[in-house]
Amino acid sequence: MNNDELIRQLMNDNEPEEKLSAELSAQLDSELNKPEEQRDYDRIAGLSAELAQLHDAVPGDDAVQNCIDAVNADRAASAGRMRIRKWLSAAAACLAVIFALNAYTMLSFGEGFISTVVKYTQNGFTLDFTQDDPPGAVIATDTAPVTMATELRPTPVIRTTAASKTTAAMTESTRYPVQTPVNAGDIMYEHCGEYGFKPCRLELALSDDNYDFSYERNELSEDFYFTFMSADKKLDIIIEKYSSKNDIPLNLIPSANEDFIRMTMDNFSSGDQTICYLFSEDDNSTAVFVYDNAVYTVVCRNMSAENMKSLINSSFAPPRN
Amino acid sequence: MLFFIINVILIYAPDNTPSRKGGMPSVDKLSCEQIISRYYRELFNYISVRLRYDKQSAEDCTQELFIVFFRKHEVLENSSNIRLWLYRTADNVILEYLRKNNTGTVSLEECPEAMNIPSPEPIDDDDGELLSEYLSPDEIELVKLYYDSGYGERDKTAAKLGITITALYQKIHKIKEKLKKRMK
Repeated sequence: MNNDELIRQLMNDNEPEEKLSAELSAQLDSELNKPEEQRDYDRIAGLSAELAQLHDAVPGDDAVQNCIDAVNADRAASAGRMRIRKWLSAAAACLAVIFALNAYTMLSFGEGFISTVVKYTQNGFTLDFTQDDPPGAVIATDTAPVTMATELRPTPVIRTTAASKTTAAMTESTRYPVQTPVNAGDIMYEHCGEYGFKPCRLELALSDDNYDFSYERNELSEDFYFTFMSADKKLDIIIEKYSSKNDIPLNLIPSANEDFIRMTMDNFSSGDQTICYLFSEDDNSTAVFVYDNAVYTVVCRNMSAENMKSLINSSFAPPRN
Repeated sequence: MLFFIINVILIYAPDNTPSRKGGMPSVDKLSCEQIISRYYRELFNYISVRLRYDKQSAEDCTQELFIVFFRKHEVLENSSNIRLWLYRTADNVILEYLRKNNTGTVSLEECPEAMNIPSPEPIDDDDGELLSEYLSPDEIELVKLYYDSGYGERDKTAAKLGITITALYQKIHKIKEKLKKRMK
């Protein structure tokens, strides 16, 4: 075989690229299998670029501009997206909380781990459920301390939403009498069922008084609001159902307390591990968790952090089949 | 009461004054465009590889990634973590995409179709073109060495040349790319 025949064979031969692709893929897999903090992102970028070029999977000329246009369109659509949850008696609470917030700027996460979901900022906590905390970093329920503040302050939740426009026709709010004894979970199940949604199970006996229920349909979510009241306690449960995890907006939880509890929920099996974030000040506690693209926010007045942990752990379970 | 009024005004302030919301530095529109321009190709390549070189899906996911970035950019307190944040978000976007499309994630090594390379355009054996004139003697020698050694002996050939097997394949690939350009 002369040189030209050899080179023609080379040009018609895919083997070098296939072998190169296999080698580079193995190297990339190896790099991605490392813990995040040990990964070399320059190497990942280099290997990815070479692989994409080998497979002729490079973006079109106008891809960057199309992306910028799409992002700007999304930004314009979601301008003024901030809103305060209607279920909070916010005015009195905000005065105390916001006043206290201005005094705190420290970043602290207690036990030396960094959560990708929860961040402490000047305004309190932000929760980004489009991120995932590594399972290995989960703090057991009995190890994370909660530092109690000295003043009694309810903890309002402020949420940014991707779309604050409510389709007005789909909003309702009604107060119902409770036929005692009754399980709060059954009430939730019944009302959510009216809108074709199966919520997580809740086993919580109600002894007396009333509850409120309201429903909102937003552009990206369906929101179910429950307030259960007793003589000395008030429990708010808000369920926001999104079609995609990426639609879940940032949660902002104003808090002067820099500590929070992160715990796995006992009734959720290991294959479907659910992490709950609990924020507490004095006897007012807020717990937030996500299950199946639905954000569950539980706010209880006059309940200690320990009791809230027990409530969340023992009372919530995956939806009925 | 003054604090309350001021903070409520700030909370409801439109997005064009985001930095006032919580005192956090925000990424303005211009710098976000710069970030997209800087990181788009890198993240596209990464997503493309993870999605087995499905170019259209990679473009959709990359766009989704930056939309999520913009929705959350107020909480990025400095630029040092933007790249890490983008990779983390890319992983989430990919998982969400695969979940929606009922496609499991697999290792690239375990996925034979991920190795498929677009077939080259066939070269006519009888066009009389002297391809060897496009290459240097060293390059021709490397091609000879490549084909003289069977597949099982490529490691030894690479070692003789003082390079890794990956580098050997890369050199051969570059030679082919060079020839393609010259033949156009």
